[in-house]
Amino acid sequence: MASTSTAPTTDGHALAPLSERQAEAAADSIGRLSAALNAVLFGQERLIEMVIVGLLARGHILLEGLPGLGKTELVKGLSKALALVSKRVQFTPDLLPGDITGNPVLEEVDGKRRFVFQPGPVFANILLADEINRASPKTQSAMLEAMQERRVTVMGQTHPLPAPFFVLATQNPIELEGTYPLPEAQLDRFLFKLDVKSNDVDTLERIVLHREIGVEPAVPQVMDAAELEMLLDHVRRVYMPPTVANYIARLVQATHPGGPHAAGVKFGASPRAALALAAAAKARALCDRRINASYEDVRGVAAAVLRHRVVLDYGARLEGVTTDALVARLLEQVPAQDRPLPASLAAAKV
Amino acid sequence: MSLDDRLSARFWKAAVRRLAVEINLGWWLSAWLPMAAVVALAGMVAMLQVRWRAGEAAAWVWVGIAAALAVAAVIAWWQARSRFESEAAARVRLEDALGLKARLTSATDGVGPWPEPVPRQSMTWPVSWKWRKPAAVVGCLGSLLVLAWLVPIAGASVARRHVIEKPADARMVEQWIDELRREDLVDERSADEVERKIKELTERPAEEWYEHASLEAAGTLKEQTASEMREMAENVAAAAQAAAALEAMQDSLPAPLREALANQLAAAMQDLERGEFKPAGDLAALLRDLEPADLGQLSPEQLAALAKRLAANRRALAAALANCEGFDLGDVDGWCDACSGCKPCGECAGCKAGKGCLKKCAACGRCQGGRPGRGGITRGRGDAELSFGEENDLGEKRIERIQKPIDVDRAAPDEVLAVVDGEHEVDESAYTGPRAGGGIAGEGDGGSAVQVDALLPAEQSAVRRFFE
Repeated sequence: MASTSTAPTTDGHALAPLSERQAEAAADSIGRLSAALNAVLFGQERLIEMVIVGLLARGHILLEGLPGLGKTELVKGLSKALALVSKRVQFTPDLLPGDITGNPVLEEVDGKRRFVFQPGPVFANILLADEINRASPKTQSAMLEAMQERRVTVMGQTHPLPAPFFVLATQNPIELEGTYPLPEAQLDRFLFKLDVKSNDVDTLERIVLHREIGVEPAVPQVMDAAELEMLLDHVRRVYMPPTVANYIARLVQATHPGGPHAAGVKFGASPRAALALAAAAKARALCDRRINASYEDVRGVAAAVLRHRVVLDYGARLEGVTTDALVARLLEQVPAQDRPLPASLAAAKV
Repeated sequence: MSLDDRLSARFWKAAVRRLAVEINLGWWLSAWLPMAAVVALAGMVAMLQVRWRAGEAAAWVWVGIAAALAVAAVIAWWQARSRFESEAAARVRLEDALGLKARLTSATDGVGPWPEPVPRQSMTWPVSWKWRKPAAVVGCLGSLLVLAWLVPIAGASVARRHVIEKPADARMVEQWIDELRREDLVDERSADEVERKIKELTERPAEEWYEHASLEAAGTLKEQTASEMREMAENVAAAAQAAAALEAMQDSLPAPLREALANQLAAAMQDLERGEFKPAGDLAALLRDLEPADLGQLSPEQLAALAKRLAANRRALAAALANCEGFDLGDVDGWCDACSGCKPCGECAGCKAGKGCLKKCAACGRCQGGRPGRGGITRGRGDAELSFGEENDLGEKRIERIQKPIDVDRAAPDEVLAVVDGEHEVDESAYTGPRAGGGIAGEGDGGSAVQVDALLPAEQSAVRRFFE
């Protein structure tokens, strides 16, 4: 059935509602991309799903996991499957901002010397910022404008980044000596923070059987940039019911200290987190062939969106409370419908 | 919108409405139950009160309770409506519980189709009733009301009557009057007068019935009534006796004697007329119609009818007075229980001399115009026959006897039943502890200090220093 109403917008312009047929077609494309990535990276279906959702939500992703789990392979596979330009930067303490954004180089053109901007690795569709927490805060902050504004300003000149532009950063949870933890402001720029889990025996067996050191797996191109842009447009047109928006608002509000559910929280999630939840929920709904976001979508992406945005206080950390546990508790305690029930009625266990 | 979509929309809208109604009913119930509890408890008290005061009005209490519950229902709705759940909120609850992924809300907003209807039996309904507590409350309150309705309870009037009985004398007088009235032996006004006096006594507060003055008044009333009844009985007996004598010896009686008997009859009848207790019914009419001066001129038939009527009245009066509990007729001339009116023989010298019959009554064989030992209407009473019986038989049901010195059955709680002097048996030969030998100065008693005075002051200070 064709939708008759207009989906709410985020930029003040009415967007044409997404039809179910369009959602089906988009979901098929996403399915092909997912299959291609799963052929590259074994046993990380959940990670791949969340990375795709993050991409469709136009978000940057922070991957946290041990070395050798396939983070770089995932980015390479993604760029190949989407036929996008990807670049990789290994962040080190001596890395300078210009090493990422690019530097003006003095060149002689037509007999005159002038500075010509040499784009850095940030000028790519997908930037893999490996071990981002090893760079100095100055260098990390160079990423802020690129991630948020999708542009780079060097010597007073602003250079737009190619579209689409995604940053997939990694950080190592061990060997924290000599690292610079990402500041909250920069963490907030990441849509998701995903934990890359270790592989189980079956997955390792598959890797041993089908992979070889030094030989990169062949990844077919499943869509081009235009199709990706269309998918991104489709995500924007996914309907966000007011009740789901209300659920997102209550969920984010519940992370703030002082609330009944936020014991041990020092700083709660920002409004950007609410926007991230909404965008990710829409993307997830499209992956699920739906034209509307739902409470389930919000719950599905809540941990990835909120775990790096909520700061626990010292006491909670001493007690071993994690942000994942906190978010799980919030999801249990904040229902889709928060109106209380009379004493003579009990909510069904869903 | 296709037909299927319309059907789905109808199904889901109905489900949402049902859920909202169910939740709102729960809110209403939570507001109504406390009020219902108060109403039921008040109703229970009212039910008991009304049943106690006026049993037949108890049905109206049910109406009142029902009305109060209805009013409480309206108030509860008014109070609970701020918590009522809208259909939009119920829709969210429903789609979240059923995992419909916000499709109901989206479809309501015109985005996307309605989901396919789900069979009721496989639907996970978002809420479930917790009936136990409300049902227990309602059940308890209903049980209390039914209990208040069914529990046996004495009415206030009955209770009051049973609590304080009228004094025995008043009750006896009432019973006498009832007896006389039932047999139609006494004129209504006379009976009413006595009843008025009883009413005056009992109109006072029941708590004062047994005060000395009230008991005195009731006793006086009883004695007065008994005296009047006795007077009536004497007059009836005298009239019956005179009429019987006149009838029996009408022809043979000398004129002076006949006139004396007629005067006696007239006097008795006048006394009946003047007495406090006047005869009732046709006897009263007969007395009114007869002139005392005409009694000597009555024909034999009239005299026979009068004698018969008086005898019948005397018998009826005798039967009624016999049923009067606590009433002692005493000695009344011409009153014989055996023959119900002895007749003079009319042949003996006494009869001929007008001094009363000297022969025994043919009917009872005991009296001569009266009870045993009486010598007739002019002789006064003689000696009654003696009777033999137990010496301690005092004519009452209970036989008195000397009480035993100690009667356990009648002993009061603090009464001393007996005091017996006695001594402990002590074994003088038993061992009582060391008395001599071993250098013990005194007899050993448990717990006593043996060295208190056995140390010199210097030794005592040495011991004290040691322990310090």
